[in-house]
Amino acid sequence: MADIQIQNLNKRYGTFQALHDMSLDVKDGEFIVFVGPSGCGKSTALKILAGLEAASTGSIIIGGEDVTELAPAKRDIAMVFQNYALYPHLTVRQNIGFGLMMRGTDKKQINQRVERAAQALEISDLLERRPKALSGGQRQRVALGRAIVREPRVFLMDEPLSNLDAALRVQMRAEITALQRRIGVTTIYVTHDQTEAMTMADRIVIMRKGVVQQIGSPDTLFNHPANMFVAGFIGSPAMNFLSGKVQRDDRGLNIDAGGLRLPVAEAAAAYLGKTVICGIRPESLDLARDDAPALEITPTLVESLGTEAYVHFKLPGQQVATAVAGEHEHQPLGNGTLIARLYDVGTPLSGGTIRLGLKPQASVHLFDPATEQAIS
Amino acid sequence: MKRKLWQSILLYATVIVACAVVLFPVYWMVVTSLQPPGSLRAYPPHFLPPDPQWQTYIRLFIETDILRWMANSAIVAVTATGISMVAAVLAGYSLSRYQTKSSENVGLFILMSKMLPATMLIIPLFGIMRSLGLMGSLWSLIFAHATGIVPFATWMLKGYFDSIPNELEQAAQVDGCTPWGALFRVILPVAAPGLAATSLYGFVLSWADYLFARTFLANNADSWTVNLGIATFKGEYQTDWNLVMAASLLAALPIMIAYLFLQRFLVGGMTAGAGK
Repeated sequence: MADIQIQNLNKRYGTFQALHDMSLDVKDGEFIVFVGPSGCGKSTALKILAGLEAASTGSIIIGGEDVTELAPAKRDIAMVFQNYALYPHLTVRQNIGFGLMMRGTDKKQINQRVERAAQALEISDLLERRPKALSGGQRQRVALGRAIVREPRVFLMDEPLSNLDAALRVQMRAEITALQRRIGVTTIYVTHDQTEAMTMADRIVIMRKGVVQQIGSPDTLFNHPANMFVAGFIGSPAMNFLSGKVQRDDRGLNIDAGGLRLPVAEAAAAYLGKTVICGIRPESLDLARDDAPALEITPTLVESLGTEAYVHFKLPGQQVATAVAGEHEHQPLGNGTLIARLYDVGTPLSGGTIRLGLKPQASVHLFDPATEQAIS
Repeated sequence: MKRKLWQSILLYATVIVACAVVLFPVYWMVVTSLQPPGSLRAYPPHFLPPDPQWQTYIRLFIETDILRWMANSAIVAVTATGISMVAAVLAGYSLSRYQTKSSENVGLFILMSKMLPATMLIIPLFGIMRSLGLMGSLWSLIFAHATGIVPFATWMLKGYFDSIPNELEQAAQVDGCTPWGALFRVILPVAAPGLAATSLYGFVLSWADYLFARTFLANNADSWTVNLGIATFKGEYQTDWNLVMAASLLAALPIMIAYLFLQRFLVGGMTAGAGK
């Protein structure tokens, strides 16, 4: 186990800059998740940490030792790959024990440790099989077994759940988290799935185009996003963006966004009279009480999930934008669709007009339209 | 999915016809080798020799140097294939894994050299062998065959290495292998079917050669390969076709054995289970 310092890491492929000046301190035993859309540089960062790619500039320090120039074998790390990368010509036992064998561990000890790891992952009965005779979930466990058996200083995981079906992904997600908590090895996990990031991480590093956008706990990223990208990427359904002018009336500072009066903090006073972007999470909207000020909307689509419903609607004449999680970029400002996540709706919603209001205590996030940075 | 009766009939009929086309020449070689020379043109032909002449095979071993020729062929084929495989594995792996601006051009250049006909290569090769003093030596044939095997083997293996995920050697490196270790401990075992198919291709190419052997070894009877030796059975006025066929069958035997031995590797499927 060890702490990790990533200092001013850059990676260039010719003229393309895949990673811009990345710096991060990871505490011993911490579970860090790199998240972002495809091509954001998260896997590149992981491969540089593993030593499988060379950094253009910058340094990596693991447990106080500068490993920037060290070969992967000498970094004392273990890695779980997206496609598992099991050795097809070896049995499960040989796959798990391969790293120990390469380090000259005694054969008897290899067997003991392989069996202990297999027991922990409940794959003891698969030890003599070859990878082709295993299901996706079993292969995933073998890949994990290969990582944990060496008791390395650091685990690196590159989208290890992306090839599993939805149900198995949820199960393995919980198992990996529990395993990491139990053995306490510093872990860096890469995913493009914000749900995985939110449920597994101690801290999330959210990236876009090779640049770290924000580092923080899942709660911090959800409740205090640093910019529109983070706000739109974290949370599902994604945050709604509306544009509106900051104004002051007898009830204080507020924004009129598409007919919805949004009270805002004094921090927005600097933008008085100017247009800003308001971010409202779908779960911050609710059916309005009869006497409350509300938006009258006609749903374009209602997706019922049993206990909740996603109500899609548009605000005519109001410039809005949606940042859809998982997409490469924000859609440009335009007549995008907004979503309200309503709980315990009761009666069917489609067809008629409904009245939506902001929940009491719901937060409205404000962003500078030019820089897309949060206004705080 | 259950096959319908007419589909089964069509399938088996196709297989039988294909087998007949492939196996009939071999069968006819066996029949010819067991008949006296005078019966070869008998009409109607004997599909089963009435009096099999087994002594043809005994004559082959006693009266000719077939065993030495076969040993020479084996030495040449095994050595040329071995040398070629070492070069082709390293070249194919490099072309597959280390992409540079010029690697595509280098790859095409290697493949292009395979497109040159052997008759065109033979004159410069003759000059090279003579100046190296290798005329009449098996080494001349080994090097000449390697020039033919390496380009195509490199391409075959590059294609095979391309199909093996990079993550396998990355995993091996994280597990403690050097890049060479990852190649030898992981990639080559996984590429066994490709290596087997390519080796077999090289072996067959070398074993079946007549042109280079005729050019480089004709003046040294001790170095004759089996094909060169068999060609000497053909007389100016008369040819012992039964002896030629018996020798040809014997010459084909190592190839058949090699196919049988390597068959399980040729089926492929070794990479199954490596990934998702």
